[in-house]
Amino acid sequence: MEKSFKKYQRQISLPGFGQAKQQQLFDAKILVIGAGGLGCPALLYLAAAGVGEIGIIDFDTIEESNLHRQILFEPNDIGILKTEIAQQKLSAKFPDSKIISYPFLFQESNAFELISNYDLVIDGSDNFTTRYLVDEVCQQLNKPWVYGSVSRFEGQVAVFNYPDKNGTKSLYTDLFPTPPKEGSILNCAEAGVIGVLPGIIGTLQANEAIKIITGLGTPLANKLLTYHSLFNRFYETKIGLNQSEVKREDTFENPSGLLDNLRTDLNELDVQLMQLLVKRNTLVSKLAEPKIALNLGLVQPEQWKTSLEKRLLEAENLGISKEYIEQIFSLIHQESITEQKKIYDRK
Amino acid sequence: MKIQVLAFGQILDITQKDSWEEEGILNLNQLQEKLWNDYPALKEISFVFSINKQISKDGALLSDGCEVALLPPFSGG
Repeated sequence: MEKSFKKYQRQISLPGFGQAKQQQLFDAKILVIGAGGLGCPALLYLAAAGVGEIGIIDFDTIEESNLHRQILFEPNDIGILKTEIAQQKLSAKFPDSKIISYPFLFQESNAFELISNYDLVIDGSDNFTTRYLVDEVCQQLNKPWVYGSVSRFEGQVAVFNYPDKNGTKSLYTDLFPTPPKEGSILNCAEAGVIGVLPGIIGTLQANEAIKIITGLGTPLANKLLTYHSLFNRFYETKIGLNQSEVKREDTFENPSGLLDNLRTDLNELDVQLMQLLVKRNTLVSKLAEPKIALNLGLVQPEQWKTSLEKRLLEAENLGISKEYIEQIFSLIHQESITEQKKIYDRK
Repeated sequence: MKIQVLAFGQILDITQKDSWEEEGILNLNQLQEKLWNDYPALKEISFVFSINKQISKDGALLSDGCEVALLPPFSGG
């Protein structure tokens, strides 16, 4: 059947979208692992967007307790394979998408072959064995994958093995290097889950997949997004080494480059130190007015003694030489007096 | 020196508060010790630290006013 752009007019008319992006979606092949709370909304929105080929892998059958969040299924479907019903419903609703079902467990023996047939993987599974396997196989086959997972009222989303603007890629193992102790992190059956939460997270996963396929926007590469549905807290954190650490690792075999990088870092640090000193001077100047109002002298030897003692104690904790710190703070103290004296002299 | 600590996922279930202040903590090792002491159940949960929205390694130094997020992996799907 010839696909019509007309059906997708409302997204084609978006700025930067056009028929070219729609064609990229028509040509895209996405594998969704797990047709559960995350998989169902992701599948619905991917097919609705016109993704050309969608594979669904899940070995499980539908249970009554799935229905409040696995929105492809209804009471009549209980006991039937998830992949079978998902394929039927998605094909009927979105005939432009070719839906392929794999009614078995995603495991080492089939992971490589399955993923190699697709451009991108969405992981909607509920266990660490699957997640670490997806991570490993996607790395080997150089495929991006979209991670999503939920814990009670919270969800996480990230894009792995996909370059960010600097060309840096990260993996799930860069974020969580080792699987947690068996049973220490709860799944939905153990922890409970409100249906709308995987709905939101699965939809975010579909959105990341569409961004990667079309090249629109900034995918969550090298970032972990956490969403808390009760407080509406979206929290994004960067994964992987920070830039200075990356530079250092890259140049370890190249001593002159390493030296340059270290000197650049030192320069930056020195500028920051000076900026802090300026900030300190501003603060110190503010001391003068209330001191004058209280008829206090310019220099308060007791005050200085107490704060120096504190500095020296901190120096010991920080493992830095006390003599060095005392010298620096003596200079800083002198500068404080000079700054305040300017104001005292004006009065 | 004060830092702000944020809890996520099962960590939040244990601490029962999503953010709080800690004082006099200089690095992540010290923070981990303090957390394990205050909430022994955290010893059973694996999680990573993020300092000012950047995942950070064990022992990383903290600075005054920084924000440290405690991020466990989630499992539900």
